[in-house]
Amino acid sequence: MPLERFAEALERGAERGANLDKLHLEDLALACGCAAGDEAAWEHFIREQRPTLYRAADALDPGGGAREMADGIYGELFERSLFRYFHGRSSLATWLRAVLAQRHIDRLRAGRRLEPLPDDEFSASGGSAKAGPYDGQYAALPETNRCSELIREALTRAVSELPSRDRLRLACYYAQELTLAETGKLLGEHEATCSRHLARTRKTLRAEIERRLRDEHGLSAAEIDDCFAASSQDPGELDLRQLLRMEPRKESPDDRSTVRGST
Amino acid sequence: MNCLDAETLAAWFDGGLSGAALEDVRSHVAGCARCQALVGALGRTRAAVPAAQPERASRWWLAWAVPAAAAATAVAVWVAVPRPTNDAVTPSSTASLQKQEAQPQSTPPSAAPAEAKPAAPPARAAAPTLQDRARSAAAARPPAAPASEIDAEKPAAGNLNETVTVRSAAPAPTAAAERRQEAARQGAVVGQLQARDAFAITSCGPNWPAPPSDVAAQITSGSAPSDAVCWIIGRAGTVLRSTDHQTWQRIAFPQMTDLAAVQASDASTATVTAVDGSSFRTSDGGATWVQP
Repeated sequence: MPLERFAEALERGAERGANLDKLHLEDLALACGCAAGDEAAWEHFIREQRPTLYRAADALDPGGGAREMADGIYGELFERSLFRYFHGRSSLATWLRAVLAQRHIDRLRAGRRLEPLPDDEFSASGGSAKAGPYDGQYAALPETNRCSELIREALTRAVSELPSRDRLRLACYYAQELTLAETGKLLGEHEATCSRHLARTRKTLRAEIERRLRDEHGLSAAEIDDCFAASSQDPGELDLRQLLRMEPRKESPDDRSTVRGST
Repeated sequence: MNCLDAETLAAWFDGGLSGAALEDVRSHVAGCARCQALVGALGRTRAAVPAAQPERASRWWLAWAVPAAAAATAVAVWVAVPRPTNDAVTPSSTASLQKQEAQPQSTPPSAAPAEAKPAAPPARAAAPTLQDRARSAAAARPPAAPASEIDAEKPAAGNLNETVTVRSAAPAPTAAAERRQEAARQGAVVGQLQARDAFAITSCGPNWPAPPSDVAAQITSGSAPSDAVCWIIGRAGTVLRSTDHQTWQRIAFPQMTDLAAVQASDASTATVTAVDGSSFRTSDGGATWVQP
């Protein structure tokens, strides 16, 4: 394996802010070897990494749809053009999974652009729909729908006021269904800590929703409980994933971990 | 900040980011729909990570078990094989030991070794040495074992001569043999697990039998179009198929080339790709192969 290629890749990695002590040098050497056309490196890559690529494709789309993308990536790797984007900042296996995930998501998003978005109106509101009185804009709705609407609106505003770190934790765990360990790793905290933070955030959201229903819509404690019960039975179009994708409010440096009402 | 590129996303997952770069990424993803979806998608590919890695993490002790067992075996053998100076038990020491036999019933069995030391000075030369070695061997054993083993080695009826004999010969080889067996057993378990994991990773999943041992190491990939059919391929034109979850049928392949991928549709139809990119297709269960 030519050392020049390896040194060049290291240099490019350093330019991209890579931590030299965290570089995956073995994988970088393998990638450089493959890019240089080293047969042994390529054989090793096929043996060790290609199954990873295909398993990742099957995990993303059990129907086999992502296999084409995996083949496409494999083709680009075979032509050596893709290896130059790998600088050893992660393991080769994770990078391959990330490349595949990126293409998969971009393809899904491109496909969805051609479909009408059912929740355009909701998204356009940016979660900041002006709250009306309890007997105002939602009064004409059936009871269950009215409760769902009230809670959705309050939740939207409460989520938008969460610090970005709490939003990220919610997004990773609830919306993207990562495990506690994975979520904690991304946030740099132990999974037990992550679990405690999630519990705290849930309490905060609940308290904030209750406060809004009470203060802004004039609901009594019993009505609020009824609303939660009705909403849990029929949450309507409540979509946490959608809520968490909305632009968060600007936060000051000192409110990175709590929102109003939290302890 | 722009959306994450694949390597930044991967580095974040692998813990390779720090400082401002890490905070930038977290801050961006907290408000970016595409990047959140990327995170979710990458998380869903966790199944692609070879099971051996988490398994390795959860069975970390296996990596230590074999060397630890080997070390324990070495200590046990050292205890079991008497050194030349201790092998020859002098008549005087034997006589002293026999003297101890004369008064064993008056003391509790558990107190016999301790009380024997001051009463039999000639035996000290032999017995303490052996006892010390036994103690050091016991200290070298895993924590759960020593108490019961030492208790078992205590003189049953105050017969110190018998005690010395037992300590110097019987238990140590037994322990050594057990250590050896344990090491062999764990080595075999490790081997089986690795083979099973490797097979599960490269083929159709864990619910299929292991391939024949002569080709197990050759397998590179597999495809299970349904719960009833699995095709696996490997180096040197290795192609096998199972339709009963019990046996593998070897399929003749026209070339002795290394095979990298297989995509099967059913028990009859499969497309195999070699490492050089050439493809072969069969629609009659492998009786004939054609290059599209």
